[in-house]
Amino acid sequence: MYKSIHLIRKDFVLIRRFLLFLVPYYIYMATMSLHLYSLLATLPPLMLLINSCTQDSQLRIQRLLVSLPVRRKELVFSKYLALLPYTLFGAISILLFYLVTTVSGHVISSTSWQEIGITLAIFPLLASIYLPLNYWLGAKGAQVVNIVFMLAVMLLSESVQNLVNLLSTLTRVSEGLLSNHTLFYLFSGLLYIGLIGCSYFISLRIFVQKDV
Amino acid sequence: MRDVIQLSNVSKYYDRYAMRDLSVSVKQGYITGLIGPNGAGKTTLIQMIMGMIHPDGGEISLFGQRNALDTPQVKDRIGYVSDENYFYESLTVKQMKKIIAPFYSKWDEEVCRKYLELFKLAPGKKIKDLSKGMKIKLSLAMALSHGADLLIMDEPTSGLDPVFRRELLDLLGEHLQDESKSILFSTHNTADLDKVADYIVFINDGRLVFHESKESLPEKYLLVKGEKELLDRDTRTWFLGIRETPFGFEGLLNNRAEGEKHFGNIAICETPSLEEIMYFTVKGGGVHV
Repeated sequence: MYKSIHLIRKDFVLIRRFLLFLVPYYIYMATMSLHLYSLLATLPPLMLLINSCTQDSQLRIQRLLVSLPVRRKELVFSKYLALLPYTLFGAISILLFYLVTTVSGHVISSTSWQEIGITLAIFPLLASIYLPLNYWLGAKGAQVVNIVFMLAVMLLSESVQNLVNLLSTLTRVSEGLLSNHTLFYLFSGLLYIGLIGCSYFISLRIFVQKDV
Repeated sequence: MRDVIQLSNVSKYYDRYAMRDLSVSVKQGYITGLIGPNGAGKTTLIQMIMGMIHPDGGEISLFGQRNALDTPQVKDRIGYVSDENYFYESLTVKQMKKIIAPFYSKWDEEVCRKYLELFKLAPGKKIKDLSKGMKIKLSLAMALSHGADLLIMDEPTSGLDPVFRRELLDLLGEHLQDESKSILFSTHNTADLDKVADYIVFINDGRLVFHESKESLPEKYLLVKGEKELLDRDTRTWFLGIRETPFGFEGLLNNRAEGEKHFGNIAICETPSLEEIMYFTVKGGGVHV
């Protein structure tokens, strides 16, 4: 586990400079697109993940990582574990952002908070699709995947309200079926973790067998 | 004498290249040189030992452990040096060191500092600003800073100037003062191995040509230089490789005693260098100049 921590630390050393690029992004969002919560919550963590994966996906860097006294399993695990700090980064930055906007007189409705929560939860799911593709396609193919994912997040941001409505409908239907709130949330949580778990095992299978 | 690396019938197949049933070993306490022309399979072999690529067949043992290519305890004992820059270009030397150091149980900060000073590697310098030779020095400094029992070096001298090349060979000699240490050193520059290697593994086109102690090579190989009239259909078949010029021929035999018996009085018989052994073996018969 401690090796995974060092690998995540490595990722943060590598993306440190990239964090500075997010400052103008947040300034732009604050002035132009305050209503696009998902762009605030999902895009920066996704950009951090893509940045760290892009740096690691070059063959020579993969050779460095594989030459270290770390199992390939741990290399993959650290990428999934890093989703926690990335999501946290998204959450903290959005909280700070809204703190500033609230102080300056804006009111955030409860629906907005719901949207923020959903978009934050979407990031690990997006990452669960992104990571196996990244391991599978390597450095060259990943460039296309990166662009597709950025576009996907931007398009998603426009339809977050629709997604919230859809989720509300799904929740009502599911609650009707399960007739128990706790069971419903438990089921949803397990499904969520299950999807991420499946993604991890697919990535692991790809990378463990891969020649670098 | 213990084998720190043992490959048994290792195979790897690509579209245009195949390594077939390769069996070699690296002995503890010695420098084993891995030679062969470009594309012979030296890097493939090293990458298989390092667990970077997976063999399609056969078995690789490291420090007596089978299938230990993904075992951290085994890799902890290996220092890897490559002519390919495998560091993050955007980082400084110090940042790169800080990333690598925590993974090794025997990382010695003092030793690392000593090597960085010796190699004149400024900690604040960005890796992308280092020359190829300096990047190899950095790779070497990292490999020597964690008390590795086995150094695996893939073409480490390829980007180095002659002065540092000689210093590097001295360093390897010093490293081997501790008899528990071993080195696998791949190169196509055989002059380096003439100076330091104890054993030579020669591979060509994915196959093992020989694995011998360096001392035994002069007893086995003979370079014959003579007039073309000495070559007929029968004698040509005795040679591993022949180079013909308008003035005569040079040929390599792998049976010194027989060669001296036949050519001792009628041609010049010499002990070939490693380079000559490699050249004639790769070229085979009938090279006309």
